[in-house]
Amino acid sequence: MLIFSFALGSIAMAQSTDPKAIMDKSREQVKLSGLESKTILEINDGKGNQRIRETSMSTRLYPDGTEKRTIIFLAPADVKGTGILIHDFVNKEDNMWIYMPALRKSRKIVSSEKSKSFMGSEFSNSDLFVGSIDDFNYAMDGTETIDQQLCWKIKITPATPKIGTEFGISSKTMWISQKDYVPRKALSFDPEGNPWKEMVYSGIKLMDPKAGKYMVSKMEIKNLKNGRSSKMDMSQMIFNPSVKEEIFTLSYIEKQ
Amino acid sequence: MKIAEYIYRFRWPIVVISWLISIGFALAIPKIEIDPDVKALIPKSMPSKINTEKIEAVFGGSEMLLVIISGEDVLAPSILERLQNISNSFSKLPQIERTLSLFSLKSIKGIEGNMVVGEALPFIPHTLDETELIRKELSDNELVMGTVVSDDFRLAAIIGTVYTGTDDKILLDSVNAIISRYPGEGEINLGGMPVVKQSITDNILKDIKILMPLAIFLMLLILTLSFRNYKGVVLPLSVVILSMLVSVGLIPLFGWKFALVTVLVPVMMIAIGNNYGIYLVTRYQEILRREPDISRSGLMTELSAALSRPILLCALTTIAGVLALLTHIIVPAREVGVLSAIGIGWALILSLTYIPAMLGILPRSKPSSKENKPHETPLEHFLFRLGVSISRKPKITLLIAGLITLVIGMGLVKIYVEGNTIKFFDSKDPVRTTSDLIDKHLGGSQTISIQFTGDIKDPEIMNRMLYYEESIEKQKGVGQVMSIASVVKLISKALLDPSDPGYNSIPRTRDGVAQFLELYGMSGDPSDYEQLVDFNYENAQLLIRINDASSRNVLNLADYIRKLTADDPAIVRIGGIGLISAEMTNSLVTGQWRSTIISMLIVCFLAGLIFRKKAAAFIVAVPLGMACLVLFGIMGWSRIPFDPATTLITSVMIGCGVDYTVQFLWRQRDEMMAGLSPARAVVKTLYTTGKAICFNAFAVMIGFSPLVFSSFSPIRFFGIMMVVSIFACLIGALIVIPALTLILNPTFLTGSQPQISKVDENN
Repeated sequence: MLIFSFALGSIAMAQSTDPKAIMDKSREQVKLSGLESKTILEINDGKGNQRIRETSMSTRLYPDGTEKRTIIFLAPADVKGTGILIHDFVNKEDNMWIYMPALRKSRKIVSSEKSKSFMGSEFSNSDLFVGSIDDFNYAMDGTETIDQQLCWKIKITPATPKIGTEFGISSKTMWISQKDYVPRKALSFDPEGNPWKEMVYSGIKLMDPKAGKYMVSKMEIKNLKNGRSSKMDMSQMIFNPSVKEEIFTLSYIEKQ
Repeated sequence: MKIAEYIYRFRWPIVVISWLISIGFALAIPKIEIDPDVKALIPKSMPSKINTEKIEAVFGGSEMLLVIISGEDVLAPSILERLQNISNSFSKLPQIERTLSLFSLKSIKGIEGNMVVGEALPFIPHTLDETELIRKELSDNELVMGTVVSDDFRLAAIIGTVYTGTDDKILLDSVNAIISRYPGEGEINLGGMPVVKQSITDNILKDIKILMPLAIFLMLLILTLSFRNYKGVVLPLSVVILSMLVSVGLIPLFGWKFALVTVLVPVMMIAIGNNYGIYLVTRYQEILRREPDISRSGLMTELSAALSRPILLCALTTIAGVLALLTHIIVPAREVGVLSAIGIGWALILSLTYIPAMLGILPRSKPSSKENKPHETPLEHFLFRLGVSISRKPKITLLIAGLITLVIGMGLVKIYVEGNTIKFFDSKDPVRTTSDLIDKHLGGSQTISIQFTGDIKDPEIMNRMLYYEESIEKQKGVGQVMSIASVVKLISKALLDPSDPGYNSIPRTRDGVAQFLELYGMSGDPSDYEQLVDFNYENAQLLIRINDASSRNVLNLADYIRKLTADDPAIVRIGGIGLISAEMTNSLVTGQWRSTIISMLIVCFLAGLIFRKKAAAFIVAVPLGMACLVLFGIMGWSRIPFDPATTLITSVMIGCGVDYTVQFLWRQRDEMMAGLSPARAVVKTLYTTGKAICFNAFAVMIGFSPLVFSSFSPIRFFGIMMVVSIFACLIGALIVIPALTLILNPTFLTGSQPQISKVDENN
């Protein structure tokens, strides 16, 4: 399951207006087989204060659907060298290890809280990933032009209350470009149905021309309730389907 | 043309204008707002208030609203499901900044080398085994035990931090609606400052609805019984009502709000405002009895000549006494001083203009058939006998009075102060019982905050924070102490093995602290610890929850904290609602002594001025001082504390009590000037003016007596002690003053050398 890259395929097949089919097609093309990049995460508290986290990230997708990610902190200086290794499995809980240079040892972190924020930002899994296709119901809500792109406006609702609770939302609206199937905007609603977080996607780049896969390199999210916002800006992106296996090991993050 | 003649001539305009002015002020009454906040009691310049506001600006509001569910076992699925539903809806309320509950708190622990971060309550148990597993999990989780679950699992709480400026009524209505939406097992109570404040507001309204009509009814009754004449009832009562309208109407006009002690203003108007009217109507009847055929203008001229000056003096001394409240530190006490002074001033103006004008309009009363015989009533007879006894043995009388005062006054050493608003409610009031539950089982409902500023990731600051936390935790009355340092320590405990260096402690390096905090940031919600540290790690808060919020304990604790943290350069301020209460307590004591001394100085100065002799100031001071001692002594013996209301008593008492001494001395001087010996003058003054003083004092006592039915203990205590203190002033005027003047024979009473004489019973 991909959190940081949100690539969707530009599908050459005839366009369907079935919302579930549109989302399904997007989902099938969502994962890049391998990626290396630098990411700047900007966290704003809505009161003029800002935290910047600079990381290098590598991801690799395996045939069984498992995705492995390595995140190494580059800045600020006091957390430089902190490494995170995540093994994201399809049908079981993720494995996460953290290496802290101050302790000089790695520790496994067991956390079941999937809908919580990422790195203290406003981003969460539910903002970056909409779950498996059957977890939600989809309804076409017309079309709208976003960022000069004609988009399908699709309303997504959790299939069960439990899924709603897990993702912490009552519904979500996504604007999917009719041209490249890449989302341009998303608006999630809190459990009471109030607008909660608005996410804007930009910097869309074609990463794998052969397979016709795109990459969203910039994402900005605004929490409409508390005024906080976060930005994720990926640079130096290298599409690399054969990212070295050793990068996704504890010994690698401990050496950085 | 004399003033009395002007009043008679313009009697109709005077009456109409008096009503119009009063009604004009009364039009503002509907705009009155109630302010139940303890913070409103102390001035904006008080350090604890300034500090609390600054701390709240960084870390958000510190007021807590607690939803407490109680049952045999709160881990029963039906109770937990209900609590979860309520918690989910509660946390979404716009007035709630953040929520702590079994469903929002985390579990951070180390298991077999792994750091396990999860929900404190991962699931709702449905079997016995599951329940016991969860019980064990929770028992080991220091983030939840004693905070949102009691040690015996009979209580669970949802704790919401409330945004500053929240409307308590709207919030509590919303919470009650949520609770009604999810009925079920477990008894639910609400606690915390919003509940306390709303109860104060409700009780103030209840007090106004009950106490005002009761006081007016009692006044109506006493006036009817005293005068048996509609003029004697209508005239003083209309003065009371008109002065009450003005003093209460001024509250919103001055931009003030109705606080807990403001309820005393209308009651003071009822109790004090009728005095001058009573004097006038009494003298009016006396004149008519003596001269049934006197002309209207003649009647009014005589009335004015006889009473204008004494009434003016009485009112001015009372106004001066209550105005001494301006020196009080408690803000509403100052407001009570100003409002009651203006109200009494208006009552004085009305008594000198409106009442004579009304007497000029209303048909003349039939003269009473009774003759004005001396000491014909039991009271007069008693006062006559009292006068004879005092004049025979003035020294012994004074000695006995002094000894009694001394014995009672010894209670002063037992007096204590109470500024904790919770204690203003009855011990069985739900506000109090819920607060006791929170204090006993859930960490406490009041807080003290210590703000650190600097590089919060610096291990030195972290370790100091931890040291303070551990030291303060051991103090009496402290329920729970939280800081970002204990969170970092907890992470070290979960992240490291017990054998590892740095286990259960703060990392040795700044980078270590930063990395721990980064890890915490990754594990939870960004707002999880924003109450403990700010976004940029430049400010941190040590939050102390107090489970014994009695003023004595909070003051001791505040002293301890100040001493403990005295030399710490990172600590920029200490605040919190607990500290505000403590500072208010100190203010109560200071305010009490300051206003008492200043009231005493002012009225004694005025008495000296009235009689143009320093000795008069001394003679007035003695019975008032004795009355103060009696008041404090009885408060001590009967464990009635100094509180925001009772600290107002002395100023009001001195303001009222000085009237009696001035009136007594005035009449005594008249009698002595007329040629009576000091002893005879004392006896005559006692059964003439003494009787009027008795009526006046009883009227004031009855006026204040409805306060004993107040919903608040400070107001009840004020009512009781006001009756006691006015009685003490009465004794002072009728026993101490005669004895003292007979012993000292001051020249201001005669204008000549002292005379010595005895009195016979047939005087």
